[in-house]
Amino acid sequence: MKAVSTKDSAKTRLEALQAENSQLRLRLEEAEETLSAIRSGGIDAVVVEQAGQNQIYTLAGADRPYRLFVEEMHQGAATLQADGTIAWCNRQLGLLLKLPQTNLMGMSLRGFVRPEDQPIYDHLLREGKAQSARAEAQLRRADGALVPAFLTFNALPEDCGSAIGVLVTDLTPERRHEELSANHTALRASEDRLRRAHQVARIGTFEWNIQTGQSTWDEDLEAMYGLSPGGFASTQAAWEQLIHPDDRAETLRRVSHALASGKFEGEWRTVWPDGSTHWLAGRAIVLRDESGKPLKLFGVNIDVTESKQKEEALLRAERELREFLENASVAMHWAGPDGRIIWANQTELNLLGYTREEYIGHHLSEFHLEQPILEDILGRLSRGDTLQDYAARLCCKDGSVRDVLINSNVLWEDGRFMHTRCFTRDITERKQTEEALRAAQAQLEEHARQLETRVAERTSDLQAINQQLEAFVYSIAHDLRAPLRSMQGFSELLLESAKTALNEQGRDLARRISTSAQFMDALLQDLLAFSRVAQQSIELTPVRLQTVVRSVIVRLEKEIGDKTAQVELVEPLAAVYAHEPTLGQVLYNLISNGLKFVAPGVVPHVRIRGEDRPAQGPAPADANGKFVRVWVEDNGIGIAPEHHQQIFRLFTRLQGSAYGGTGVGLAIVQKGVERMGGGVGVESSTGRGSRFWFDLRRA
Amino acid sequence: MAPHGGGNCMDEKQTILLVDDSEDDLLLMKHACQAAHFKPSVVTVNDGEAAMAYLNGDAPFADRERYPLPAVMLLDLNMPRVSGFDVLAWVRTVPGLKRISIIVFSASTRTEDVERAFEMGANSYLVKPCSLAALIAMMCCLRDWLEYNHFPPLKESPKPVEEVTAG
Repeated sequence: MKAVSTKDSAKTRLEALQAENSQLRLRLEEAEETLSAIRSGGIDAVVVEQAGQNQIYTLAGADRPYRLFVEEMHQGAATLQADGTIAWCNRQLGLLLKLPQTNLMGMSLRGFVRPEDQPIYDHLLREGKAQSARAEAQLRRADGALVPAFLTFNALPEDCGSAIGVLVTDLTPERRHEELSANHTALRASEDRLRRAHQVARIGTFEWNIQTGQSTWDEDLEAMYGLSPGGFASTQAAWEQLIHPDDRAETLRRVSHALASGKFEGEWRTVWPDGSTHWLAGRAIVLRDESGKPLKLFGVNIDVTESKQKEEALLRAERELREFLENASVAMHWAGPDGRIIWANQTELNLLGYTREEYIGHHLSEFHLEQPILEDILGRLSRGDTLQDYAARLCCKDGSVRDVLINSNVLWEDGRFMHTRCFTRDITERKQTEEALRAAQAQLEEHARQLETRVAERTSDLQAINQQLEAFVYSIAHDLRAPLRSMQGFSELLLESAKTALNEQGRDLARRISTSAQFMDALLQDLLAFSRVAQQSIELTPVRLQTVVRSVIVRLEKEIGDKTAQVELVEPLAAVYAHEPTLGQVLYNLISNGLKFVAPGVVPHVRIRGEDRPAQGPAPADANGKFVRVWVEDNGIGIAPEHHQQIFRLFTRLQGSAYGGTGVGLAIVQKGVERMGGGVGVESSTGRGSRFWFDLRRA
Repeated sequence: MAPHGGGNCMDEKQTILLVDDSEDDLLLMKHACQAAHFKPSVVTVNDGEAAMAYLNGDAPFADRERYPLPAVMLLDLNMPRVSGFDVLAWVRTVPGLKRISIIVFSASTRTEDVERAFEMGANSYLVKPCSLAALIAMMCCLRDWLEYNHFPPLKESPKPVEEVTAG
């Protein structure tokens, strides 16, 4: 608050000077009155000390108090002889001219007047002899300095021995006042400029008198704290209360530091009465006395709210960006051209388990498992390549290894390698999962292989068992049939070659042996057929039904002829998926049944026809899902409904030996059709003929 | 029945060899052949080993006058030790016996047996019928076939040095 202080001190000085001035004028008037009193005879004599001798200027009625008064007054006073020689002077004139009072007496006053002003003196002397005269003139002191002075000359009565009384008023204080006044005006202008500048610059000034605790603020500063002009309580304590509580301690610490260092700098917030927060920056200097004791803290505050807000926004943006980078899901680092890590985010540190100190500044080679990979990475980067999903393996602090994918390139500035920018993604879990998956797959494949092997073993076991079984059935059939052939053959031979030797009863017995042997042979052949149908491997291929039916009819030609039977094939018949030998066996059995089981005297009539059936269940890939139902209808003896289920069982016979059934034929039919993926059934009632059907997938 | 062809047809001078381990079957076959009025002489052996010895001219069949090489052999399959298949396989490896017509005569109706027999060089496959009447009918057919068929002359090569082992 330099300006304010200057202004104030100037004001103070001015007032002091004015006071002094008016005092001087008062004295001057007193002196003039004294002189006029002397002149009017109120004073009898004036004793004037003079070098060597005291001259007593007797005045009518003069006395000691007057003399003392003149002697002690603050203006120079002297009496001049007519030629200007100083007859007497007071002490003050000696002080003024820097010569002992006694030396002055006898000297010419003119010698003390600046040469330029001597005409003024001469004029005064001339006029002063007559009556009185006043003028300003510069006196030269004994030490050579000029002293502005106001000279008053008054003629004294002749009888007093002195011609002229002179009063000399030192004008130096007056001059100084005038100079100060001029300075003051300049200062005022300067202060106005400063004030405007402060307003523009949002600068407020203060002066804190450390000794008194008084603090003087300008209005600008008050405005910065949200106070109206004069609203500041003018104490340091009041200022402290205006500082935001969070910033108070630090600011005061800086203040006490400044008292030691001489300089204050700081930033703090203030909360205005309206609740808004403002940022202020302060700078101040400490003024000290000669002993170095701090007297005043003198400085400015600047409102930096706006820049602070910008700074804060910038800081916030930077903090947010930093937080984002630090906690991004992807690990990041920068490395210099020398391969040393300049910066890494928290994610990367977390990934590898190192602290910032253990990582930053270290060389990448400390963290790469495979050095050739790192060399390749750095080589590519320094050639300006950009790495995309580059696979690498990094070492963690705990000794584990992470599989990562690296995306990286280099920041170049003016062709200079500044640093790499490396993004690292951890794919260890993914890789482990993949490996686990691969292992699981391998295990699964192994299991599948084992299973296949087991299935193959089991299959081959089953095949072996099947073969054994088949060999068993075959050998039974073969070995059983051999003696049957003999029984039959020899009983026939007996009937033929020995017919004359046997009576009718003997021939009947031989015939019975032959018939039994024949039946047993039929039974064995049927069993063989059944075991074949049940066991043989069946591969389904498209088969023309018509063709198979026709060939079966041909095979049955003899029986058809013997019975003059009618076998009717209703064409066309669709193609089906079947195993041809098995289909032939099924049709043979059904048609021959139709020929066999007819009432005596009835001409067998068998009709074979087909019809389409809707899809049943899921179709194989190569089939259309449709079925064909094949009907074999006869005009035979029929089957009671209660027997419909059981007739397909092995060895089930509803009729006696008259029809020559073995009880195996329909079991073969059912087994064969089932093995070809179809079903069988019968619609019939006693005496109404039978309608056998079986379904096969349409080809 | 009289032959309708040239001099190579089957006649009394030629021989048919029946190979079967079943005495009953051989007896019935002989009867059936008689009943069918077979012209060639019918010779029988009881098993596979004997059949190979006969064809090879080994003892006791060394005398080719008494045991001439047959133009046709009726061969049972299911025999102990040396089966019909063994005999079949062997015959087809011996150069002098290759031309013999081999008719498999078996009780087996298995497709596998039929296929295998033809694969190994059988000329025909007959299933033994159960009844004597059927057998006689079959032999009549065979007789006719033999009469109509032309057979190549048999050229016996020198006996192989090695003894043929059974199995």
